Amino acid sequence: MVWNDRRYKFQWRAEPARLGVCAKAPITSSGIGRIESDPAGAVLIRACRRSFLRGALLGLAAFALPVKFAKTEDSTIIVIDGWIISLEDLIRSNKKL
Amino acid sequence: MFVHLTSSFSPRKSYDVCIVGTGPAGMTLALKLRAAGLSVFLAEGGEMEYSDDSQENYLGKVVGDPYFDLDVARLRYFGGTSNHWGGMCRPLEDRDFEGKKVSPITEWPIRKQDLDPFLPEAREVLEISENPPDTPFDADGNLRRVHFVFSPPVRFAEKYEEQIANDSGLDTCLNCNATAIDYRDGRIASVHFENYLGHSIDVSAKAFVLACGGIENSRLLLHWNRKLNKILGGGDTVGRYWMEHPTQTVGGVVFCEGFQLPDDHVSTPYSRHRLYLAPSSDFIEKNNILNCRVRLDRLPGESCEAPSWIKSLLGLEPKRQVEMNWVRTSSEQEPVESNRVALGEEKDRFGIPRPVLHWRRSELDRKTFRSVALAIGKYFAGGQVGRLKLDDWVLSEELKFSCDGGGHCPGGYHHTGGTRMAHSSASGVVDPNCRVFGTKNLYVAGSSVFPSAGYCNPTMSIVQISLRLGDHLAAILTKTANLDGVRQPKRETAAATE
Repeated sequence: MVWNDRRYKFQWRAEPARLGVCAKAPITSSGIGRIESDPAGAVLIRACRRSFLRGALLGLAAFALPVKFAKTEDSTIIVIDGWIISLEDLIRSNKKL
Repeated sequence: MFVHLTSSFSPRKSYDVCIVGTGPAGMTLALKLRAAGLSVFLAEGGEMEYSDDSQENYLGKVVGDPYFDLDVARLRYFGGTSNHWGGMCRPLEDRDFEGKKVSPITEWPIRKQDLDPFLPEAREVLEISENPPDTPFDADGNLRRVHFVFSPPVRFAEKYEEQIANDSGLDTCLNCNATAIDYRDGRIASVHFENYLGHSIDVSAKAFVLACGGIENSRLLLHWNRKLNKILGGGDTVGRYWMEHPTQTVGGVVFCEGFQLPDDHVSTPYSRHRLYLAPSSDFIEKNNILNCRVRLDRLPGESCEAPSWIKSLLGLEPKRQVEMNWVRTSSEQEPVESNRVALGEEKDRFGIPRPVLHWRRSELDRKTFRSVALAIGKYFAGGQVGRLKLDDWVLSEELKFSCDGGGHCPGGYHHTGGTRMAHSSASGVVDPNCRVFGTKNLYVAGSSVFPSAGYCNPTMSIVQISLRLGDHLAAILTKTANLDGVRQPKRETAAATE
Protein backbone atom coordinates (compact mmCIF):
# COMPACT_ATOMS: atom_id res chain seq x y z
CA MET A 1 0.00 0.00 0.00
CA VAL A 2 1.33 3.38 -0.93
CA TRP A 3 0.45 6.40 1.14
CA ASN A 4 3.04 8.70 -0.25
CA ASP A 5 2.05 12.12 1.00
CA ARG A 6 3.75 13.87 -1.86
CA ARG A 7 2.02 11.79 -4.45
CA TYR A 8 -1.26 11.44 -2.65
CA LYS A 9 -2.02 14.92 -1.58
CA PHE A 10 -4.40 14.09 1.15
CA GLN A 11 -5.31 17.22 3.00
CA TRP A 12 -6.89 15.73 6.05
CA ARG A 13 -4.25 16.95 8.42
CA ALA A 14 -4.68 20.47 7.18
CA GLU A 15 -8.27 20.54 8.23
CA PRO A 16 -7.96 21.77 11.80
CA ALA A 17 -7.11 25.08 10.15
CA ARG A 18 -10.79 25.27 9.38
CA LEU A 19 -11.71 25.47 13.01
CA GLY A 20 -13.33 28.74 13.74
CA VAL A 21 -15.11 28.88 10.44
CA CYS A 22 -18.29 29.58 12.34
CA ALA A 23 -16.85 32.80 13.62
CA LYS A 24 -15.70 33.89 10.18
CA ALA A 25 -18.60 36.29 9.82
CA PRO A 26 -18.60 38.05 13.18
CA ILE A 27 -21.78 39.64 14.37
CA THR A 28 -20.53 43.06 15.36
CA SER A 29 -22.86 45.80 14.26
CA SER A 30 -26.45 46.43 13.38
CA GLY A 31 -27.96 46.35 9.96
CA ILE A 32 -30.90 45.43 7.84
CA GLY A 33 -31.26 42.04 6.25
CA ARG A 34 -32.14 41.59 2.67
CA ILE A 35 -34.08 38.87 0.96
CA GLU A 36 -32.94 37.17 -2.18
CA SER A 37 -34.47 34.51 -4.29
CA ASP A 38 -32.14 31.60 -4.75
CA PRO A 39 -32.09 29.81 -8.12
CA ALA A 40 -32.92 26.60 -6.30
CA GLY A 41 -36.16 28.18 -5.11
CA ALA A 42 -35.14 29.00 -1.57
CA VAL A 43 -35.51 32.40 -0.02
CA LEU A 44 -32.22 33.52 1.38
CA ILE A 45 -32.06 36.17 4.02
CA ARG A 46 -28.62 37.60 4.15
CA ALA A 47 -27.69 39.64 7.17
CA CYS A 48 -24.55 39.44 9.18
CA ARG A 49 -25.05 42.18 11.73
CA ARG A 50 -25.86 42.17 15.41
CA SER A 51 -29.56 42.77 14.92
CA PHE A 52 -29.73 40.72 11.79
CA LEU A 53 -32.82 38.85 12.88
CA ARG A 54 -34.74 42.02 13.48
CA GLY A 55 -33.38 43.29 10.23
CA ALA A 56 -34.45 40.13 8.49
CA LEU A 57 -37.95 40.53 9.79
CA LEU A 58 -37.98 44.12 8.62
CA GLY A 59 -36.82 42.82 5.30
CA LEU A 60 -39.65 40.32 5.25
CA ALA A 61 -42.08 43.13 5.95
CA ALA A 62 -40.61 45.17 3.14
CA PHE A 63 -41.10 42.31 0.76
CA ALA A 64 -44.73 41.55 1.61
CA LEU A 65 -44.48 39.59 4.78
CA PRO A 66 -47.61 37.46 4.47
CA VAL A 67 -46.54 36.08 1.11
CA LYS A 68 -43.14 35.19 2.45
CA PHE A 69 -44.69 33.59 5.49
CA ALA A 70 -46.93 31.49 3.31
CA LYS A 71 -43.97 30.42 1.25
CA THR A 72 -41.96 29.69 4.35
CA GLU A 73 -44.67 27.52 5.78
CA ASP A 74 -44.70 25.60 2.56
CA SER A 75 -41.13 24.83 1.62
CA THR A 76 -38.99 27.89 1.97
CA ILE A 77 -35.56 27.59 3.44
CA ILE A 78 -34.23 30.51 5.44
CA VAL A 79 -30.52 31.08 5.40
CA ILE A 80 -28.90 33.68 7.62
CA ASP A 81 -25.17 34.07 7.49
CA GLY A 82 -25.01 30.64 5.98
CA TRP A 83 -26.98 29.08 8.84
CA ILE A 84 -30.09 27.30 7.66
CA ILE A 85 -32.86 27.92 10.16
CA SER A 86 -36.59 27.51 10.39
CA LEU A 87 -39.19 30.22 10.60
CA GLU A 88 -39.72 29.24 14.20
CA ASP A 89 -36.04 29.86 14.81
CA LEU A 90 -36.37 33.28 13.30
CA ILE A 91 -39.28 34.25 15.49
CA ARG A 92 -37.80 32.74 18.63
CA SER A 93 -34.51 34.48 18.16
CA ASN A 94 -36.12 37.77 17.29
CA LYS A 95 -38.10 37.72 20.50
CA LYS A 96 -34.91 37.41 22.45
CA LEU A 97 -33.34 40.43 20.82
CA MET B 1 3.39 -16.74 -14.81
CA PHE B 2 5.51 -13.64 -14.87
CA VAL B 3 7.56 -13.14 -18.01
CA HIS B 4 10.18 -10.55 -18.77
CA LEU B 5 10.43 -8.39 -21.81
CA THR B 6 13.97 -9.19 -22.82
CA SER B 7 15.59 -10.07 -26.10
CA SER B 8 15.29 -13.74 -25.19
CA PHE B 9 11.55 -13.68 -24.51
CA SER B 10 9.26 -14.91 -27.27
CA PRO B 11 5.56 -14.57 -26.74
CA ARG B 12 3.21 -17.25 -27.98
CA LYS B 13 2.30 -17.16 -31.65
CA SER B 14 -1.08 -15.88 -30.57
CA TYR B 15 -3.04 -15.50 -27.36
CA ASP B 16 -6.77 -15.57 -27.01
CA VAL B 17 -6.78 -12.18 -25.34
CA CYS B 18 -4.14 -9.51 -24.77
CA ILE B 19 -4.94 -7.10 -21.92
CA VAL B 20 -3.12 -3.82 -21.36
CA GLY B 21 -3.21 -2.83 -17.69
CA THR B 22 -3.19 -4.72 -14.39
CA GLY B 23 -5.51 -2.61 -12.25
CA PRO B 24 -8.87 -3.84 -10.97
CA ALA B 25 -10.29 -3.89 -14.53
CA GLY B 26 -7.42 -5.67 -16.25
CA MET B 27 -6.65 -8.17 -13.53
CA THR B 28 -10.29 -9.07 -12.91
CA LEU B 29 -10.78 -9.62 -16.62
CA ALA B 30 -7.60 -11.69 -17.00
CA LEU B 31 -8.59 -14.04 -14.20
CA LYS B 32 -12.13 -14.34 -15.51
CA LEU B 33 -10.81 -15.33 -18.94
CA ARG B 34 -8.40 -17.80 -17.42
CA ALA B 35 -11.26 -19.40 -15.53
CA ALA B 36 -12.89 -19.92 -18.94
CA GLY B 37 -9.73 -21.64 -20.18
CA LEU B 38 -8.52 -18.87 -22.50
CA SER B 39 -4.88 -17.93 -22.88
CA VAL B 40 -4.07 -14.39 -21.82
CA PHE B 41 -1.18 -11.97 -22.19
CA LEU B 42 -1.39 -9.35 -19.44
CA ALA B 43 0.82 -6.29 -19.81
CA GLU B 44 1.79 -3.87 -17.06
CA GLY B 45 3.71 -0.71 -17.95
CA GLY B 46 5.21 -0.41 -14.49
CA GLU B 47 7.13 -2.79 -12.29
CA MET B 48 6.11 -4.96 -9.37
CA GLU B 49 6.61 -1.97 -7.04
CA TYR B 50 6.33 1.76 -7.42
CA SER B 51 9.08 3.47 -9.41
CA ASP B 52 9.54 7.07 -10.48
CA ASP B 53 10.59 5.82 -13.91
CA SER B 54 7.17 4.36 -14.52
CA GLN B 55 5.12 6.98 -12.70
CA GLU B 56 6.76 9.70 -14.76
CA ASN B 57 4.75 8.43 -17.75
CA TYR B 58 1.61 9.68 -16.01
CA LEU B 59 2.59 13.34 -16.12
CA GLY B 60 0.16 15.60 -17.92
CA LYS B 61 -1.49 18.99 -17.89
CA VAL B 62 -4.81 20.15 -16.55
CA VAL B 63 -6.78 22.96 -18.14
CA GLY B 64 -9.83 24.47 -16.47
CA ASP B 65 -10.74 24.08 -12.82
CA PRO B 66 -8.02 23.24 -10.32
CA TYR B 67 -7.45 19.50 -10.24
CA PHE B 68 -4.95 17.02 -8.84
CA ASP B 69 -1.68 16.59 -10.70
CA LEU B 70 -2.27 13.72 -13.10
CA ASP B 71 0.70 11.74 -11.80
CA VAL B 72 -0.60 11.78 -8.23
CA ALA B 73 -4.16 10.77 -8.98
CA ARG B 74 -3.22 7.26 -10.14
CA LEU B 75 -0.50 4.65 -9.76
CA ARG B 76 1.45 2.96 -12.52
CA TYR B 77 2.68 -0.40 -11.31
CA PHE B 78 1.41 -3.94 -10.83
CA GLY B 79 -2.09 -3.73 -9.38
CA GLY B 80 -2.56 -0.20 -10.69
CA THR B 81 -4.50 2.32 -8.71
CA SER B 82 -5.86 -0.38 -6.40
CA ASN B 83 -2.55 0.11 -4.60
CA HIS B 84 -3.90 3.26 -2.94
CA TRP B 85 -7.60 2.57 -3.16
CA GLY B 86 -9.67 3.54 -0.11
CA GLY B 87 -12.00 0.52 -0.41
CA MET B 88 -15.45 2.19 -0.56
CA CYS B 89 -17.96 0.04 -2.41
CA ARG B 90 -21.47 0.54 -3.60
CA PRO B 91 -22.95 -0.49 -6.94
CA LEU B 92 -24.41 2.14 -9.24
CA GLU B 93 -28.11 2.77 -8.71
CA ASP B 94 -30.96 2.11 -11.15
CA ARG B 95 -31.39 5.83 -11.78
CA ASP B 96 -27.72 6.16 -12.70
CA PHE B 97 -28.30 4.20 -15.88
CA GLU B 98 -31.25 6.29 -16.99
CA GLY B 99 -31.18 9.51 -18.96
CA LYS B 100 -32.12 12.41 -16.70
CA LYS B 101 -34.48 15.10 -17.92
CA VAL B 102 -31.88 17.72 -17.11
CA SER B 103 -29.09 15.83 -18.90
CA PRO B 104 -30.36 13.09 -21.25
CA ILE B 105 -26.82 12.15 -22.24
CA THR B 106 -26.39 10.48 -18.85
CA GLU B 107 -28.23 7.45 -20.23
CA TRP B 108 -26.38 4.14 -20.51
CA PRO B 109 -27.14 1.68 -23.32
CA ILE B 110 -27.38 -1.01 -20.65
CA ARG B 111 -29.28 -1.13 -17.39
CA LYS B 112 -28.43 -2.06 -13.84
CA GLN B 113 -30.00 -5.48 -14.43
CA ASP B 114 -27.27 -6.18 -16.97
CA LEU B 115 -24.61 -5.79 -14.29
CA ASP B 116 -26.50 -7.27 -11.33
CA PRO B 117 -25.70 -10.91 -12.25
CA PHE B 118 -22.03 -10.07 -11.62
CA LEU B 119 -22.57 -8.59 -8.16
CA PRO B 120 -21.89 -11.77 -6.14
CA GLU B 121 -18.66 -12.43 -8.05
CA ALA B 122 -17.61 -8.80 -7.68
CA ARG B 123 -18.18 -9.03 -3.94
CA GLU B 124 -15.92 -12.07 -3.79
CA VAL B 125 -13.20 -10.24 -5.67
CA LEU B 126 -13.48 -7.19 -3.42
CA GLU B 127 -14.12 -9.21 -0.24
CA ILE B 128 -17.20 -7.29 0.77
CA SER B 129 -20.69 -8.07 1.99
CA GLU B 130 -23.97 -6.83 0.57
CA ASN B 131 -24.77 -3.15 0.93
CA PRO B 132 -27.62 -2.66 3.43
CA PRO B 133 -30.77 -1.32 1.77
CA ASP B 134 -31.42 2.40 1.60
CA THR B 135 -33.86 3.81 4.12
CA PRO B 136 -35.92 7.03 4.09
CA PHE B 137 -34.32 9.70 6.23
CA ASP B 138 -36.61 12.71 6.50
CA ALA B 139 -40.36 13.12 6.78
CA ASP B 140 -40.53 15.13 3.55
CA GLY B 141 -39.15 12.24 1.52
CA ASN B 142 -36.33 14.36 0.16
CA LEU B 143 -33.48 12.32 1.56
CA ARG B 144 -32.53 8.70 2.02
CA ARG B 145 -29.83 7.10 4.03
CA VAL B 146 -27.42 5.10 1.89
CA HIS B 147 -24.74 2.67 2.90
CA PHE B 148 -21.30 1.88 1.59
CA VAL B 149 -19.41 -1.25 2.45
CA PHE B 150 -15.66 -1.29 2.80
CA SER B 151 -13.23 -3.63 1.13
CA PRO B 152 -10.18 -4.43 3.37
CA PRO B 153 -9.24 -2.84 0.80
CA VAL B 154 -8.18 -5.52 -1.66
CA ARG B 155 -4.79 -4.78 -3.21
CA PHE B 156 -5.06 -6.69 -6.46
CA ALA B 157 -1.32 -7.22 -6.73
CA GLU B 158 -1.02 -8.78 -3.29
CA LYS B 159 -4.18 -10.82 -3.62
CA TYR B 160 -3.46 -12.36 -7.00
CA GLU B 161 0.34 -12.34 -7.34
CA GLU B 162 0.79 -15.97 -6.37
CA GLN B 163 -2.11 -17.18 -8.49
CA ILE B 164 -0.73 -15.35 -11.49
CA ALA B 165 2.82 -16.59 -10.86
CA ASN B 166 1.61 -20.18 -10.93
CA ASP B 167 -0.61 -19.86 -13.98
CA SER B 168 1.13 -20.98 -17.16
CA GLY B 169 -1.79 -19.84 -19.30
CA LEU B 170 -1.45 -16.24 -18.14
CA ASP B 171 1.72 -14.52 -19.30
CA THR B 172 2.08 -11.38 -17.22
CA CYS B 173 4.76 -9.03 -18.39
CA LEU B 174 6.00 -6.09 -16.32
CA ASN B 175 7.69 -2.97 -17.69
CA CYS B 176 5.73 -3.69 -20.84
CA ASN B 177 4.34 -0.51 -22.40
CA ALA B 178 1.86 -0.58 -25.27
CA THR B 179 3.09 1.89 -27.83
CA ALA B 180 1.69 0.92 -31.23
CA ILE B 181 -0.82 -1.33 -32.93
CA ASP B 182 -0.86 -3.36 -36.11
CA TYR B 183 -4.29 -2.53 -37.52
CA ARG B 184 -5.70 -4.40 -40.50
CA ASP B 185 -9.19 -3.89 -41.89
CA GLY B 186 -10.85 -3.11 -38.60
CA ARG B 187 -8.95 -5.77 -36.73
CA ILE B 188 -6.00 -5.36 -34.41
CA ALA B 189 -3.46 -8.02 -35.39
CA SER B 190 -0.90 -7.22 -32.72
CA VAL B 191 0.17 -4.66 -30.16
CA HIS B 192 3.74 -3.45 -29.96
CA PHE B 193 5.22 -3.27 -26.46
CA GLU B 194 8.44 -1.59 -25.33
CA ASN B 195 10.33 -1.42 -22.07
CA TYR B 196 12.66 1.21 -20.64
CA LEU B 197 15.76 -0.65 -21.84
CA GLY B 198 14.83 -0.62 -25.49
CA HIS B 199 13.54 -4.17 -25.78
CA SER B 200 10.29 -4.66 -27.61
CA ILE B 201 7.86 -7.38 -28.66
CA ASP B 202 4.75 -7.71 -30.77
CA VAL B 203 1.93 -9.65 -29.18
CA SER B 204 -0.76 -11.21 -31.35
CA ALA B 205 -4.15 -12.15 -30.02
CA LYS B 206 -7.71 -12.74 -31.10
CA ALA B 207 -8.94 -9.88 -28.96
CA PHE B 208 -7.27 -6.92 -27.28
CA VAL B 209 -8.45 -5.00 -24.25
CA LEU B 210 -7.33 -1.58 -23.07
CA ALA B 211 -7.60 -1.48 -19.30
CA CYS B 212 -5.21 1.34 -18.48
CA GLY B 213 -7.47 3.66 -16.54
CA GLY B 214 -9.73 6.63 -17.12
CA ILE B 215 -7.11 8.79 -18.79
CA GLU B 216 -4.75 6.35 -20.49
CA ASN B 217 -7.48 4.48 -22.37
CA SER B 218 -8.43 7.72 -24.12
CA ARG B 219 -4.83 8.79 -24.58
CA LEU B 220 -3.80 5.58 -26.33
CA LEU B 221 -6.85 5.56 -28.60
CA LEU B 222 -6.28 9.20 -29.52
CA HIS B 223 -2.62 8.50 -30.21
CA TRP B 224 -3.30 5.49 -32.39
CA ASN B 225 -6.04 7.36 -34.24
CA ARG B 226 -3.59 10.13 -35.02
CA LYS B 227 -0.90 7.72 -36.19
CA LEU B 228 -3.21 5.64 -38.34
CA ASN B 229 -5.36 8.50 -39.53
CA LYS B 230 -8.23 6.29 -38.46
CA ILE B 231 -11.20 6.81 -36.28
CA LEU B 232 -11.07 4.00 -33.76
CA GLY B 233 -14.13 4.56 -31.66
CA GLY B 234 -16.22 6.27 -34.27
CA GLY B 235 -16.46 10.02 -34.53
CA ASP B 236 -14.88 12.74 -32.52
CA THR B 237 -15.97 11.31 -29.19
CA VAL B 238 -12.75 9.67 -28.01
CA GLY B 239 -11.55 11.41 -24.85
CA ARG B 240 -14.74 13.45 -24.46
CA TYR B 241 -17.38 13.48 -21.73
CA TRP B 242 -14.69 12.89 -19.13
CA MET B 243 -16.01 13.07 -15.57
CA GLU B 244 -15.07 13.06 -11.93
CA HIS B 245 -17.15 13.09 -8.79
CA PRO B 246 -17.04 16.77 -7.83
CA THR B 247 -16.28 16.67 -4.12
CA GLN B 248 -16.20 19.46 -1.59
CA THR B 249 -16.92 20.41 1.99
CA VAL B 250 -20.01 22.61 1.83
CA GLY B 251 -20.39 23.47 5.49
CA GLY B 252 -20.75 22.09 8.96
CA VAL B 253 -23.44 21.02 11.40
CA VAL B 254 -23.66 21.80 15.08
CA PHE B 255 -25.96 19.43 16.92
CA CYS B 256 -28.34 20.11 19.75
CA GLU B 257 -27.38 19.21 23.28
CA GLY B 258 -27.42 15.47 23.73
CA PHE B 259 -28.24 14.57 20.13
CA GLN B 260 -26.44 11.54 18.78
CA LEU B 261 -26.04 11.18 15.07
CA PRO B 262 -26.71 7.65 13.83
CA ASP B 263 -23.66 6.37 12.06
CA ASP B 264 -22.32 3.36 10.27
CA HIS B 265 -19.67 2.79 12.94
CA VAL B 266 -17.04 2.76 10.29
CA SER B 267 -13.48 3.43 11.25
CA THR B 268 -11.17 4.25 8.38
CA PRO B 269 -7.86 6.04 8.05
CA TYR B 270 -9.85 9.17 7.24
CA SER B 271 -12.67 9.31 9.71
CA ARG B 272 -14.14 7.55 12.68
CA HIS B 273 -17.83 7.96 11.94
CA ARG B 274 -19.75 8.65 8.82
CA LEU B 275 -23.33 9.02 7.82
CA TYR B 276 -24.20 9.00 4.15
CA LEU B 277 -27.31 10.61 2.73
CA ALA B 278 -28.55 10.94 -0.83
CA PRO B 279 -31.51 12.66 -2.47
CA SER B 280 -34.61 10.62 -3.23
CA SER B 281 -35.64 10.02 -6.84
CA ASP B 282 -38.54 12.43 -6.38
CA PHE B 283 -36.23 15.12 -5.11
CA ILE B 284 -33.81 14.61 -8.00
CA GLU B 285 -36.64 14.88 -10.50
CA LYS B 286 -38.41 17.78 -8.85
CA ASN B 287 -35.25 19.84 -8.59
CA ASN B 288 -33.81 18.88 -11.98
CA ILE B 289 -30.49 17.80 -10.54
CA LEU B 290 -28.16 14.84 -10.78
CA ASN B 291 -27.40 12.19 -8.18
CA CYS B 292 -25.35 13.10 -5.16
CA ARG B 293 -24.24 11.83 -1.80
CA VAL B 294 -23.57 13.75 1.36
CA ARG B 295 -21.22 12.55 4.04
CA LEU B 296 -21.43 13.73 7.60
CA ASP B 297 -18.18 13.26 9.42
CA ARG B 298 -18.18 13.46 13.15
CA LEU B 299 -14.73 14.33 14.36
CA PRO B 300 -14.64 14.17 18.13
CA GLY B 301 -12.30 16.68 19.64
CA GLU B 302 -12.62 19.20 16.84
CA SER B 303 -14.60 22.15 18.02
CA CYS B 304 -15.57 25.57 16.79
CA GLU B 305 -17.21 28.76 17.95
CA ALA B 306 -20.80 28.91 16.80
CA PRO B 307 -22.51 32.28 17.21
CA SER B 308 -24.40 32.64 20.46
CA TRP B 309 -27.79 32.90 18.74
CA ILE B 310 -27.25 29.48 17.18
CA LYS B 311 -26.14 28.03 20.51
CA SER B 312 -29.25 29.50 22.04
CA LEU B 313 -31.43 27.83 19.41
CA LEU B 314 -29.74 24.52 20.08
CA GLY B 315 -30.02 24.76 23.85
CA LEU B 316 -26.28 25.03 24.31
CA GLU B 317 -24.53 27.15 26.91
CA PRO B 318 -23.22 30.39 25.36
CA LYS B 319 -19.63 29.73 26.40
CA ARG B 320 -19.57 26.09 25.50
CA GLN B 321 -17.23 24.89 22.77
CA VAL B 322 -19.27 23.00 20.21
CA GLU B 323 -18.32 20.14 17.98
CA MET B 324 -18.42 20.73 14.25
CA ASN B 325 -19.53 17.92 11.96
CA TRP B 326 -18.33 18.44 8.44
CA VAL B 327 -20.77 18.10 5.59
CA ARG B 328 -19.14 16.93 2.39
CA THR B 329 -20.78 16.29 -0.93
CA SER B 330 -19.66 14.08 -3.76
CA SER B 331 -21.89 14.14 -6.76
CA GLU B 332 -22.53 12.86 -10.23
CA GLN B 333 -20.97 15.18 -12.78
CA GLU B 334 -22.81 16.42 -15.82
CA PRO B 335 -21.25 14.71 -18.88
CA VAL B 336 -20.04 17.62 -20.98
CA GLU B 337 -18.40 17.27 -24.38
CA SER B 338 -15.76 19.89 -23.63
CA ASN B 339 -14.50 18.00 -20.58
CA ARG B 340 -12.02 15.74 -22.26
CA VAL B 341 -8.67 14.06 -22.49
CA ALA B 342 -6.65 15.50 -25.37
CA LEU B 343 -3.11 14.99 -26.60
CA GLY B 344 -0.55 17.62 -25.65
CA GLU B 345 2.59 18.76 -27.38
CA GLU B 346 5.00 17.16 -24.94
CA LYS B 347 5.75 13.46 -25.33
CA ASP B 348 6.66 10.73 -22.91
CA ARG B 349 9.72 8.50 -23.24
CA PHE B 350 7.92 6.28 -25.74
CA GLY B 351 7.01 9.17 -28.00
CA ILE B 352 3.36 9.19 -26.99
CA PRO B 353 1.94 12.68 -26.41
CA ARG B 354 1.21 13.38 -22.78
CA PRO B 355 -2.43 13.99 -21.89
CA VAL B 356 -4.06 17.36 -21.43
CA LEU B 357 -7.12 17.08 -19.25
CA HIS B 358 -9.78 19.71 -19.84
CA TRP B 359 -12.05 19.73 -16.81
CA ARG B 360 -14.62 22.20 -15.53
CA ARG B 361 -17.59 21.91 -13.25
CA SER B 362 -20.89 23.31 -14.46
CA GLU B 363 -23.79 25.24 -12.98
CA LEU B 364 -25.71 21.96 -12.89
CA ASP B 365 -22.91 20.38 -10.88
CA ARG B 366 -23.17 23.15 -8.30
CA LYS B 367 -26.96 23.19 -8.33
CA THR B 368 -26.90 19.46 -7.58
CA PHE B 369 -24.91 19.60 -4.38
CA ARG B 370 -26.35 22.92 -3.28
CA SER B 371 -29.95 21.69 -3.58
CA VAL B 372 -29.12 18.60 -1.57
CA ALA B 373 -27.24 20.59 1.06
CA LEU B 374 -30.21 22.94 1.44
CA ALA B 375 -32.53 19.96 1.88
CA ILE B 376 -30.30 18.60 4.62
CA GLY B 377 -30.18 22.02 6.27
CA LYS B 378 -33.95 22.16 6.16
CA TYR B 379 -34.15 18.75 7.79
CA PHE B 380 -31.90 19.85 10.62
CA ALA B 381 -33.74 23.12 11.08
CA GLY B 382 -37.07 21.36 11.25
CA GLY B 383 -36.52 19.85 14.67
CA GLN B 384 -34.32 19.78 17.68
CA VAL B 385 -31.48 18.07 15.90
CA GLY B 386 -28.96 20.68 14.89
CA ARG B 387 -28.31 23.49 12.48
CA LEU B 388 -26.28 23.47 9.29
CA LYS B 389 -24.04 26.31 8.24
CA LEU B 390 -23.21 26.47 4.56
CA ASP B 391 -19.94 28.00 3.44
CA ASP B 392 -20.37 31.36 1.73
CA TRP B 393 -19.29 30.21 -1.71
CA VAL B 394 -22.01 27.55 -1.85
CA LEU B 395 -24.68 30.25 -1.91
CA SER B 396 -22.86 32.81 -4.01
CA GLU B 397 -24.64 33.93 -7.15
CA GLU B 398 -21.63 33.49 -9.39
CA LEU B 399 -20.47 30.00 -10.28
CA LYS B 400 -17.92 29.33 -7.61
CA PHE B 401 -16.26 26.32 -6.08
CA SER B 402 -13.92 26.11 -3.15
CA CYS B 403 -11.62 23.59 -1.59
CA ASP B 404 -11.26 25.44 1.72
CA GLY B 405 -12.66 22.48 3.57
CA GLY B 406 -9.91 20.13 2.42
CA GLY B 407 -10.56 16.42 2.21
CA HIS B 408 -10.88 14.86 -1.22
CA CYS B 409 -11.59 18.19 -2.93
CA PRO B 410 -12.15 18.75 -5.85
CA GLY B 411 -12.70 15.12 -6.82
CA GLY B 412 -12.48 11.56 -5.66
CA TYR B 413 -9.63 10.48 -7.96
CA HIS B 414 -12.45 8.87 -9.93
CA HIS B 415 -11.57 9.17 -13.60
CA THR B 416 -14.60 8.25 -15.64
CA GLY B 417 -15.72 8.67 -19.23
CA GLY B 418 -13.61 9.42 -22.26
CA THR B 419 -14.44 6.17 -24.03
CA ARG B 420 -18.12 6.22 -23.22
CA MET B 421 -20.45 3.34 -23.94
CA ALA B 422 -23.28 4.01 -26.41
CA HIS B 423 -25.55 2.36 -28.94
CA SER B 424 -23.71 3.95 -31.84
CA SER B 425 -20.51 5.73 -32.70
CA ALA B 426 -22.45 8.96 -33.05
CA SER B 427 -22.52 9.34 -29.30
CA GLY B 428 -19.95 6.94 -27.93
CA VAL B 429 -16.68 5.10 -28.36
CA VAL B 430 -17.57 1.55 -27.33
CA ASP B 431 -20.70 -0.52 -27.83
CA PRO B 432 -22.68 -2.09 -24.97
CA ASN B 433 -20.18 -4.99 -24.96
CA CYS B 434 -17.26 -2.55 -24.58
CA ARG B 435 -16.04 -3.14 -28.13
CA VAL B 436 -14.52 -0.08 -29.77
CA PHE B 437 -16.66 1.14 -32.68
CA GLY B 438 -14.90 0.65 -35.99
CA THR B 439 -12.95 -2.36 -34.79
CA LYS B 440 -13.75 -6.03 -34.63
CA ASN B 441 -11.57 -7.07 -31.75
CA LEU B 442 -10.51 -4.06 -29.67
CA TYR B 443 -12.24 -3.59 -26.33
CA VAL B 444 -12.02 -1.18 -23.41
CA ALA B 445 -12.43 -2.10 -19.75
CA GLY B 446 -12.70 0.27 -16.81
CA SER B 447 -14.52 3.39 -15.76
CA SER B 448 -13.64 5.18 -19.00
CA VAL B 449 -16.63 3.40 -20.57
CA PHE B 450 -19.09 4.95 -18.10
CA PRO B 451 -21.50 7.30 -19.94
CA SER B 452 -22.35 8.80 -16.55
CA ALA B 453 -20.99 8.00 -13.13
CA GLY B 454 -23.65 8.44 -10.44
CA TYR B 455 -22.08 9.25 -7.10
CA CYS B 456 -20.84 5.79 -6.10
CA ASN B 457 -17.12 5.07 -6.01
CA PRO B 458 -16.42 3.35 -9.31
CA THR B 459 -14.27 0.33 -8.37
CA MET B 460 -17.16 -2.01 -7.72
CA SER B 461 -18.82 -1.14 -11.02
CA ILE B 462 -15.46 -1.46 -12.79
CA VAL B 463 -15.16 -5.01 -11.50
CA GLN B 464 -18.74 -5.83 -12.50
CA ILE B 465 -18.24 -4.52 -16.03
CA SER B 466 -14.94 -6.39 -16.34
CA LEU B 467 -16.59 -9.63 -15.29
CA ARG B 468 -19.36 -9.01 -17.82
CA LEU B 469 -16.78 -8.33 -20.54
CA GLY B 470 -14.99 -11.53 -19.53
CA ASP B 471 -18.20 -13.49 -20.01
CA HIS B 472 -18.77 -11.87 -23.38
CA LEU B 473 -15.24 -12.54 -24.65
CA ALA B 474 -15.27 -16.09 -23.36
CA ALA B 475 -18.54 -16.70 -25.18
CA ILE B 476 -17.43 -15.35 -28.55
CA LEU B 477 -13.89 -16.73 -28.41
CA THR B 478 -15.07 -20.17 -27.40
CA LYS B 479 -17.56 -20.20 -30.28
CA THR B 480 -15.01 -18.89 -32.75
CA ALA B 481 -12.30 -21.37 -32.05
CA ASN B 482 -9.69 -19.87 -34.29
CA LEU B 483 -9.73 -16.28 -35.44
CA ASP B 484 -6.15 -16.42 -36.59
CA GLY B 485 -7.21 -17.54 -40.03
CA VAL B 486 -8.62 -14.19 -41.04
CA ARG B 487 -7.38 -12.85 -44.32
CA GLN B 488 -4.26 -10.78 -44.13
CA PRO B 489 -4.94 -7.36 -45.67
CA LYS B 490 -2.47 -4.60 -46.31
CA ARG B 491 -0.55 -3.89 -43.15
CA GLU B 492 -0.78 -0.50 -41.43
CA THR B 493 1.34 0.11 -38.39
CA ALA B 494 1.03 2.85 -35.83
CA ALA B 495 4.56 3.48 -34.71
CA ALA B 496 5.17 5.09 -31.38
CA THR B 497 7.51 7.72 -32.62
CA GLU B 498 7.10 10.20 -35.46
